[in-house]
Amino acid sequence: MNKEITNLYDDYRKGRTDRREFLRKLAMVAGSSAAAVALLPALEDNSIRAATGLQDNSDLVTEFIKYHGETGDMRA
Amino acid sequence: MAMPKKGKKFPAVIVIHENRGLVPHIQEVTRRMAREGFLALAPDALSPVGGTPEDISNVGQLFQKLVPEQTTKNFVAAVKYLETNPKSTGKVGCTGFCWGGAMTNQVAVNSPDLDAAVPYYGSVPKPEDVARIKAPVMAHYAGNDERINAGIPAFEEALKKNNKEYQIFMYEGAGHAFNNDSNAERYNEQAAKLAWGRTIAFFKDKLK
Repeated sequence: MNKEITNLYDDYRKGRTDRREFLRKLAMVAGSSAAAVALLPALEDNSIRAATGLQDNSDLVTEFIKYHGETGDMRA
Repeated sequence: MAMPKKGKKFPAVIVIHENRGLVPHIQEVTRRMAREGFLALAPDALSPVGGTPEDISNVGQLFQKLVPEQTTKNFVAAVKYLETNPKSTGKVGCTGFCWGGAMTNQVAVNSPDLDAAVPYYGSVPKPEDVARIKAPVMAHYAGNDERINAGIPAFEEALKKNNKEYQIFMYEGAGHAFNNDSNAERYNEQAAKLAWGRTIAFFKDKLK
């Protein structure tokens, strides 16, 4: 995501600009109002991911495995 | 289990959850550990009673069904599992939070093979058990956590008396579970970041 766009969204999310002003500026960067509106879901999704600590895990291998414990299989 | 994609072998770290079970927050902490270059394993203590449920509102009842000695052995078995895992260098550390902090202390007491222990605000082990600890210990405590902190003087005395390698850090102004960034009431960003930085540096040093 373009840094200019994420900065605009950050200003809006933190209350430094209202939604009308945010959309106006976003349309200028994106090229049109329609393009601005199309960007919104991705922006909001990224914001939620950042807020909940969910990150891109493409640098990791993650899996559930089982190992043998005192009481039988342990899920980990 | 989580590990970096790049690399052949990694020092291993067990991550032990709070008294809520293996919830998404702890899975994320496990991935954070892996991003630091470790083979990170987060066992679900509730495995013998069906595993951590999606809805954790009654999870306390499941914890009550666990037999403490067996639960400790289940985590000690994780040390063995990681020592011999082909992705592991054979060095194994353990960290845990709240209930998992207490369990980290128990793993340190009961596993002579453990190489480093980092309990977060965990109930201390019995003073007479401290002699059995082989791993260097870094213990994090919250300033506003009287019940847990009441055990520190006896723990520290036993660590000293037995010439154990240990560090104790107190985070003033923080409360129990200050590392839990999924819980706004408990999370203390300053304490969490400082403690995490110390934890990672400690594991990188002791699990070399």
